[in-house]
Amino acid sequence: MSGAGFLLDLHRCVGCGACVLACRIENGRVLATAWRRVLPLNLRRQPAGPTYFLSVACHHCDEPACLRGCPSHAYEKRPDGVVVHHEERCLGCRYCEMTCPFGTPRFDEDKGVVSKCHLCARRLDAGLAPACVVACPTDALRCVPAAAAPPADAVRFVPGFIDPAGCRPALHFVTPAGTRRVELFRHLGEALRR
Amino acid sequence: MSRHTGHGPLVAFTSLAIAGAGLIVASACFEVVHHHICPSALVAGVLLQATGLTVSLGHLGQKRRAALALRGAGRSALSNEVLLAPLALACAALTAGIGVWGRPMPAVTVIAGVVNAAFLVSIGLVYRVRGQQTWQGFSAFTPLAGGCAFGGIAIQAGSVTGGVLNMVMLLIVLDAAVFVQRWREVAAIRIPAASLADSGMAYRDQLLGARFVLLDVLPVFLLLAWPTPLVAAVAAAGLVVDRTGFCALALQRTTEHELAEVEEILASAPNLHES
Repeated sequence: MSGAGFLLDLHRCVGCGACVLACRIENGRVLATAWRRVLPLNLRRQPAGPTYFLSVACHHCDEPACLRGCPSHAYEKRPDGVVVHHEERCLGCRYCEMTCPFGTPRFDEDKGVVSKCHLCARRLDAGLAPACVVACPTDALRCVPAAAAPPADAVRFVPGFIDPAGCRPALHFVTPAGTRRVELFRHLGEALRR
Repeated sequence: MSRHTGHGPLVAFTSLAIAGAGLIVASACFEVVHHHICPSALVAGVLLQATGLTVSLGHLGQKRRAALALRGAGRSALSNEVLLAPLALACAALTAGIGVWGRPMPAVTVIAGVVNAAFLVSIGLVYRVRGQQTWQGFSAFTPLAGGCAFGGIAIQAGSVTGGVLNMVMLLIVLDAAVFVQRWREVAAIRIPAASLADSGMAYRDQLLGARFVLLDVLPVFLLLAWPTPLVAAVAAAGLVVDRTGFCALALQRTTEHELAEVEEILASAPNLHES
């Protein structure tokens, strides 16, 4: 792994939303659009069906499309891989909303600028973990520091999460355990490729 | 799927800019090939472009920082467009000024035509975003082809001397060829049911069809049978439908979109279900 990023254990995430709340509080976005979101994947499309949760925010891509397209250099990729957005340079043109294939940048109507997750860069600089990671009660969401390697069984893509724009997101997944689930994910991956 | 909302000023800007630049490019073509000069078309092109540029500011959340958009010139497609827009307008204004008040200078008109053509291409490249499924391939060339077709139609419709019908027909045919390719590309994309529920997607064939009829089919018949300035209005409506449809049919492969597709596959293949 070249830069810092998140690691999500799909077997552990229960979709409680603590990460979303922690992100809101840490970044003073209690009423504003959340930077992190928890997306359910309901395997049977039934209320009680087995469900996986993808807790996603900015993936701090190795080749960020937002940075590539931004006309005003509002985005910066730090040496540790964290992609930060400088609001004071943002025009509010919302081009990054179009270029990011993960729906990460969010337009703030009140401020007239875009904003997004910065991996709690200040906390990282102080040697602390991001607020969402600290708040996760099941240890499903973790932060992989720059230059550190993710677990050997971690994968970059799971059904429902692909890289359509060649951004190389720095997000890794630990997939669900069990042979049947592994098979299911394999079949799903093949079906989606078709 | 990502639906881009609140982009009314963007649709207005691109419609006006494409119409304006298209008039300049078509004028330059006519001047080079047929030595046909139409100062009123040049003036109209300048006015449309200037209005479009003004309207485009309405899209920005921070209008006072608009000049910062030039910082990414050479790297960002949007910066390139922002750089070319005033340049194209300045060239067009110079050509129009010379055409109206002075002696026509074909070289200046040709330069203006080339710069405006580059501007139209730059508009197309802004939207050629990886991950945006419906904005790929021939979509990037629709501003240039559509703008030139509109310009030719408008000049021919407003011409009292008979104009340059053959060349106008050629521009329309070129636009039709480009647009049919875009239509085919969009039609080939598998649209998830969740996206089909959206009004734009639900009526995508009607939207694409309306654009094709208004800009490429109706003007041909009207120019041959009833050549009045009304034809230009029909073509202008076609351009507006083109840009509205372009935004309304945006289909981005976001994580939400992918998850919706996975759930759809699961629903259609019960043997994949977990027990």
